[in-house]
Amino acid sequence: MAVAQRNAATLQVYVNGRLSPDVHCLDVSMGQGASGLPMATLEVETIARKDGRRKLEGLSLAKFNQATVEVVANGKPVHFGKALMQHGSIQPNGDSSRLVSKLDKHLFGIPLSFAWYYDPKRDDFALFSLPTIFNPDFDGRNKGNMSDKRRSGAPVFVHEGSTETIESAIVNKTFERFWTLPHAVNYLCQALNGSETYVKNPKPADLIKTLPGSESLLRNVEMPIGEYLPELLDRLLSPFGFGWTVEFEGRGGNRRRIVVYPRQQGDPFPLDLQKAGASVDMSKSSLETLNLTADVATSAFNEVAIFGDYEHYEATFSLAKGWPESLDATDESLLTKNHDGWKTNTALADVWRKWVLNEAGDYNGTRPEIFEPYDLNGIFGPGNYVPRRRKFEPCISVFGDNSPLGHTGGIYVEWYDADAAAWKPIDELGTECRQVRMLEHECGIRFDGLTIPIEIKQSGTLVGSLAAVRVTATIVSDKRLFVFVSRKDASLLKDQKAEVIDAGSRYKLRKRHASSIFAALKGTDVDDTGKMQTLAGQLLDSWNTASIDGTATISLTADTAIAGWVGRTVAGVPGRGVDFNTSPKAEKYPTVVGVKANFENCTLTFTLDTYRGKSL
Amino acid sequence: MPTLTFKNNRIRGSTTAFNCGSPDIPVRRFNYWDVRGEAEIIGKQSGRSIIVQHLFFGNYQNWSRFEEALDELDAMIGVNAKLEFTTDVDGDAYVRQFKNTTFDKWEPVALAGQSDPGPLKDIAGTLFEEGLDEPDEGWFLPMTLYFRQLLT
Repeated sequence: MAVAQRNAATLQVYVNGRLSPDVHCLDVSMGQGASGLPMATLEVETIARKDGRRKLEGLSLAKFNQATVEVVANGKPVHFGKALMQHGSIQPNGDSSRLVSKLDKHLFGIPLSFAWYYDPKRDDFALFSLPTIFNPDFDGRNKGNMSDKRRSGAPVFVHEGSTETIESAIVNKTFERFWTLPHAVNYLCQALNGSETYVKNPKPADLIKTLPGSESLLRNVEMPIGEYLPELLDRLLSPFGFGWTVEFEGRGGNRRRIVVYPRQQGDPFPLDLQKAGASVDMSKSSLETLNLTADVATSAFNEVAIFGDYEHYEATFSLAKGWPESLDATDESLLTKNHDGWKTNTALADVWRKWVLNEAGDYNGTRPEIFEPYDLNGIFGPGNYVPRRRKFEPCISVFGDNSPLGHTGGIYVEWYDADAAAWKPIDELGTECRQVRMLEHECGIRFDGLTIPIEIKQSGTLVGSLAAVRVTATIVSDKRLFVFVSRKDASLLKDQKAEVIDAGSRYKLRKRHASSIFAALKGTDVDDTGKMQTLAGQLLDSWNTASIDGTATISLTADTAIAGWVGRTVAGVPGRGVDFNTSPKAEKYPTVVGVKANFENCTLTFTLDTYRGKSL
Repeated sequence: MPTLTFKNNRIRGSTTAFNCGSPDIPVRRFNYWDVRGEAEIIGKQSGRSIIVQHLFFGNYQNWSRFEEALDELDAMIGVNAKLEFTTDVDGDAYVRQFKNTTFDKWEPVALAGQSDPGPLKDIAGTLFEEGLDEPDEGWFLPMTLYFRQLLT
């Protein structure tokens, strides 16, 4: 039987836990994330208008009872908050004073100030004022810094410098583990809202079920100090296409909970409106107004280009003499630092001391054997670099304690002993000459001892004919680790639109070239290409869609559910044949990111959105 | 003689007409686009208007006393209290009570033949105060009183 009349929603307001008929709720709203925390507007007026009307008279606007407020509509809790704002107005037709109840961000625990660690000495957990960085950059690579230890069911941090060796990992009772999204969310909730005074944290099992568990996603993600849990959850979840809201489980106590959901997914619900010309039936129609905009371009992209860090390669490089050939035969005594001739003749400064890679071609023509820049094609690959000055960096090969192999700043320098027909480390040079300094502005070294390394000069039958120095070190390419994924064919956007993401500190390529004398030893090689592809896929899954944003307003009656909408998706208006699917190949719909129940107008307004939020 | 009592104070004079309508109910009527017919959402009964025609007199022989009486009436504007209307039904006194009633306002009305509403003096001696045999002969004012009963 057609229904043309419905009862209005029923409302009860509880102040500090007591039913308060004199407090009237005008509206409640709730939404997604930090910008959509639950809010309600209240008016205080006794029904009999005796003495209770809250007038803008004889009161201090900023001083009012910050009571807890709960609103129950149609028998179900739809709001919890504290009366934290008072709005006063004086108009020609009267005055009014309205209170706004909010579940403000500070009711979600403490702001981020410290990080929880496990202290193996005390076998207990400890707070340190170290930064909260998930999987930070450490010694040129991303390092998992999640402890095996659990505090209140959530993992804590282990310092990235605490798991470099098996021995230190044993001390800290944890090995290197990467934070994943569910673990990071669980950690933040427990660390900041451990008391769950007003809002309960999400259940860990639900987080694992909802959020991706890939170790590729969180890379060097720092949480700013001073922010509250709602802001931090936005920061963590939004780039990966997830949102969160507060669900009301009941009235009283802390019977409300943070829930995380994927945007544009889940069981979509229809907006009910009968076919044109049908006789009104409120059991089949509720949609009163709709104002939506579909946008296939602004926030969408169908291709992703991710730039990681510049590629690092370790290799063994033969160096060239960094002085003119005409000075090769200079007497060693003249090349001693204490000699007056050496001090006054700057041309002698580099002789038998400076050894260079000549990577930019700076030394071409200074010696017959130097006529072109060092060929890095074999290491970087053709077309991946320009001849320019670079710098030697520490080896990727490491000792057992994970520190780079090498004598000087992690760089390994050898000289050729022609008599022994072997390369020898500089440790085997005389004590007065083996001090080596790395050049700051080019790839090269300088023997900085009192005397020149005479063993090198005398190598070979002629003066220095077999003299040679080589260095095992890391150099940085001009090419960045790069991943490009296109799904243009599976896009509503007909043209190509790429999202370019600079993730330099998060994804790395650190390889040892076959020429490295350490290539077979232990190293900290990293190739994050696969992880970047995973990220690119995740981003395209989320954002290779059109966006639909705007509002839809339905009738609010005693039969209307008010809570539980945020995070759900809207399929369209089937009664009018309108479909909201935003993806050509999958079912993706705009998400409800906000709901406002206006009890005066008897309307419930959904705010729909598919926008991306904060960037990675 | 029908009388009116508000907050246990009798409003001087006599009530000539007592109109009490049904309670109001908030209702929102609207259409769904391109759907035939009208839909409505109804709330709970909220309140009702009570409009009373009243001859305000009380043996006010001098003008200042009459004005004082009007001031006393003004002082009750905005007050929420019990309203009682007393009349005779078949020779028996009948009292109808309205709790939670707010006195909104009063307005002077013109008698038939009177060009403008305003106070008159009972020169002809046609008004009799309750229980008195002597005519009033003082100042009087025909008025309409507006009340609103708030239903809880």
